[in-house]
Amino acid sequence: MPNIEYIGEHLLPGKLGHFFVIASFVSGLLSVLAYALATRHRANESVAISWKLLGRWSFLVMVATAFSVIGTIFYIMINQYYEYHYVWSHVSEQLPMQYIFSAFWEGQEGSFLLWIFWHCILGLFLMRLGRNWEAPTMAVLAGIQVFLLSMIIGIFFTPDFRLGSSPFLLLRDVMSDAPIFSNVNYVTQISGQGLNPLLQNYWMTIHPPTLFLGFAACTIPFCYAVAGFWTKDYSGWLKPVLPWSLFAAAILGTGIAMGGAWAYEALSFGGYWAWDPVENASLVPWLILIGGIHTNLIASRTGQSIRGTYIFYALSFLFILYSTFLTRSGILGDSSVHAFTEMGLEWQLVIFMGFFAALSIGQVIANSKHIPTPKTEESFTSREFWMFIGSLVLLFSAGLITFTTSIPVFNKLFDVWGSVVGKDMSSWHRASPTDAMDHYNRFQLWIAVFIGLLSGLGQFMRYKEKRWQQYKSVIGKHMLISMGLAVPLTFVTNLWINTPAFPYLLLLFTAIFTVVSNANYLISILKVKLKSGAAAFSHMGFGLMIVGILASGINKTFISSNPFAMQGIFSEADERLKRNIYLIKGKPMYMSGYQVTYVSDTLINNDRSYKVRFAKMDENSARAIDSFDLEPYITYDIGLTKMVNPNPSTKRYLHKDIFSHITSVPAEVQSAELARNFEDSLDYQLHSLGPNDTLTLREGSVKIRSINLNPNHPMYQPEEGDIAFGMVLDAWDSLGRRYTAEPMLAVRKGLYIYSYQDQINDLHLRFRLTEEGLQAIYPDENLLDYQTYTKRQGDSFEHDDYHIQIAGFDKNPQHASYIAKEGDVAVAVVLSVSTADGRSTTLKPIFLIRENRTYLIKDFDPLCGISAKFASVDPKEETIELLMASHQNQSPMFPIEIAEDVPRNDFIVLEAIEFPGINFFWLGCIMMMGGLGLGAYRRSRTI
Amino acid sequence: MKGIKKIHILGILMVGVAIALLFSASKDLSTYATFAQADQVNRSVKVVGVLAKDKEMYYNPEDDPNYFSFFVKDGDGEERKVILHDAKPQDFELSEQIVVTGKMKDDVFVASSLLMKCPSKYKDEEIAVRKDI
Repeated sequence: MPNIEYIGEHLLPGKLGHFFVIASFVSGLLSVLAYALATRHRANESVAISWKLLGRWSFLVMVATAFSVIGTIFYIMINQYYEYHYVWSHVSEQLPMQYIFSAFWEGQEGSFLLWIFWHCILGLFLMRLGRNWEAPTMAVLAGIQVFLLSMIIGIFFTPDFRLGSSPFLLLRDVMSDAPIFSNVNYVTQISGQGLNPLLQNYWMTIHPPTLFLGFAACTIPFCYAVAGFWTKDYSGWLKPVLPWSLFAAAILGTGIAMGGAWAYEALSFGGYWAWDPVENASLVPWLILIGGIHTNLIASRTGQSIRGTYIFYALSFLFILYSTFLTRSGILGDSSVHAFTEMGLEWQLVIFMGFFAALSIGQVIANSKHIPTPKTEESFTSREFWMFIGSLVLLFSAGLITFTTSIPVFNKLFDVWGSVVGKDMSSWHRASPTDAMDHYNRFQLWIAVFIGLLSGLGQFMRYKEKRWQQYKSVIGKHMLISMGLAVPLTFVTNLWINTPAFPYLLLLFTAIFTVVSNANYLISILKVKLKSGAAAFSHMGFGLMIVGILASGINKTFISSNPFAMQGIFSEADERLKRNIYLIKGKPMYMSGYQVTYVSDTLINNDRSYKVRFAKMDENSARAIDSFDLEPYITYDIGLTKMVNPNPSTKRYLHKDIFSHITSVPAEVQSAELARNFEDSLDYQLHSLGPNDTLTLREGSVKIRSINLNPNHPMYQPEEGDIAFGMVLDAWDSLGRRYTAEPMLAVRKGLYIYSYQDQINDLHLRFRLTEEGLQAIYPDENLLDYQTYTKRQGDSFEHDDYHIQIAGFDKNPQHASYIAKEGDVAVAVVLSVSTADGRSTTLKPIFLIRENRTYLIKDFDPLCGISAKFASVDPKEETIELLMASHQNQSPMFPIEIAEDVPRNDFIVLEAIEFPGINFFWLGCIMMMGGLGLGAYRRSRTI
Repeated sequence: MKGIKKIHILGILMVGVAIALLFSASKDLSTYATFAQADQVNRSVKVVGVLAKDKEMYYNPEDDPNYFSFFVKDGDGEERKVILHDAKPQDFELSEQIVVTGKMKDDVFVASSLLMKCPSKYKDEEIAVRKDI
């Protein structure tokens, strides 16, 4: 592309922004160095202080410049500078401002910046609260920040090789071949693509920030662990790190749960967890972090598992990096439903992971000998032993999930190996399990059983148990109480949940056991000192979550002809599993104890909302015990040309949810293109009907009732000069029931034809008018032979075969061809006309005086075949003059195109699912995260 | 050399359990198959292919809202009819690559789950949609 001087580009923000990124990167590097030297010289206070100060200032500069980058991007987004590729990709004219944040982090660069933002905030806190640990932890944190900044720095070493992907790339640099860039003024002509409609909701505004704060927070425990081993103070870091770990677990857990809530509330997937690889990738670090929290508690109290705690915190951080690698590299393309844009930065992420993995391994190996281990062995009867087992179980869980989720990575590794040694490794490729849910659930069920047992039992155990003989009776008593309550509760709950197999029953028991046992602990040991009950809360939350998962999973039922949904019951995909129901507007369907009716639909702005009534019927009396309306809706694009996505509607009770969403709608409703294709696919036959003809078709017979010269249609917007007509058609089925259709046609400016078909669904008939109809309907004025009649009001007379009565006058006439203007004097005469063969009609020709000129506006009826004009008034004689003409010499045959066997267009296909007990799941999540948060707060106070 | 501590026994045990679990998990993994291979085995397989856009896609909800059939051409070029006992996914006609999981039954592939990749209006991105039964 030759060097063109483009007009109107705003290049300064981009250049500034890029400068800020580089400045942030450099000051981050400086901060790492300074803090590292402060750590190294920590024995020499004055030297250490000066390095620490330099570290702080350079960190602050890094924060300020990073904020400036973010500010610059918001600036170019809000101003819609589409010359920037990032703005073009995520912003459009129609983007409501409330979604500007979502647009910001929709893209890879933006989500990295969100992560960097949180690191800045957390770093400021760490700087303030770190005290003795400030230097080493900040050095690590700054180091991680530098790596993150390198992902967006966008420096080209060679044209093909770049470090990072800058958010300030110009559109014309990324899409350099696009022809628009030969135009000097292209800036004024381009418009952005906008935010993916699936992301235009409030979830996209709250879920990513929470999740990324969780990711950022997971690095702090790692920073402390590295700091501890670095400064060879192996136990000092264990206390200050704990509030950070708890905070990270609470936030990350909340972020993950939000993802589930988003899926459940706003997507048509019909659930809150799918073991999707991207979901799994964020769950794994959380599980490992929880394991680390438990080993941390052990280490703080007994001095055991210091190395274990390091390893858990390091793994938690490394798996955050791994999860970001999986999500951003596009490697999960065939196995996940989340969208990807490949950034081409896979190798950078691999180096990122590799660096910190090597650092961790190196530190562990180098320090293993020096870690003080307590003299006494762990005993099997100590609390720390069982907590450690628990952490290992969590690690196993994480490992199993990672294994299956990483299959695409294994395949890629096989390929890399194959290209090195020159072999074709495709026979080694594997795909994810054919039934992924079942695969994960099978293993995680046992993990959950163990966690339930351990978290119920472990609370009552004591650290460094030396006096087991004395205390075993106390513990035994509490266990007996807990079991005693748990067993009957399980029995009762199982009457509701009805577990299908022993493992599920066992899981239910262990979940209830941990709830009861922890409640017992809270009451008897803590004496309901709620402030100390953080762990008890979290464990109870876990138990409730499991109860919720079992209830809503096992007893999930589709309100369709088949009651049970659970895949485990049916060993294979079965015809019997019918999830969707077909609803015709206005016709109730009976299923699963409900009477379901598609009542109506309404189009408001860009949403078409469907009202579906559910009435729970009493079996005996056939009356409705309970009734509610659900309103699932479909969203259209801006131009209302195409349906974008369906949105569910859920009725929430305390003990269950009823979730519904639309799975299919008629072609006409889906998109303009499909409507056209559908219309083109129909086989219309041309029929000619006279006014008294009855046409017999396969499913019914049709007759013209009347012709409407002033037709309406919801989608027709009349303009002056339009010539429009509609037909009212009556149709009868074989039982004599009558139906009506009203197709219409309008011709605008003699050129554009607007045709509005109408359909009788019960007879599968569709009617369309043609322009030839106009000729049949509007008689040729030149061929009409008008005869004059002078009459009075109330008179009746004959004209040809017509009997005409002058019924009265209308001083405010409405007429298709008459638009009243100020100063008009208009009056219509009302004529009742009847024909020899029994038809009748009313004509209202108008006599108009406008600006001192007289106009006669005729009225006519094409079916009856008669025209009338109101020619003059003689006030003295009280007579009027009428002109009447018959259309007799033009025998009208009205053309109509009719298609038969037409699929109905008044239906929806609905999926309705009942989720019993799902509120246990949400309650459990809230309690678990709440307990973690409470623990974080409490522990931060004691430092 | 210190004596074998309990923690070491535990460690060995854990490693053994871990190996056993991973082995069990790995048995669940499937391979991508072709229709010809699906004919021969009587269990669930995954077939990667493209949607045959010139062949019939049948969905008549008035008749059965849980029956949708279409044709897929696999990696070997073999075309088969696929049946999904669910509604027709939105924008199905736009999909390019499709991964169907299921079994052959007579001459028809009965799918239990469907993963489609449709190009969206975003040039660089693809959006995948999954239908699971």
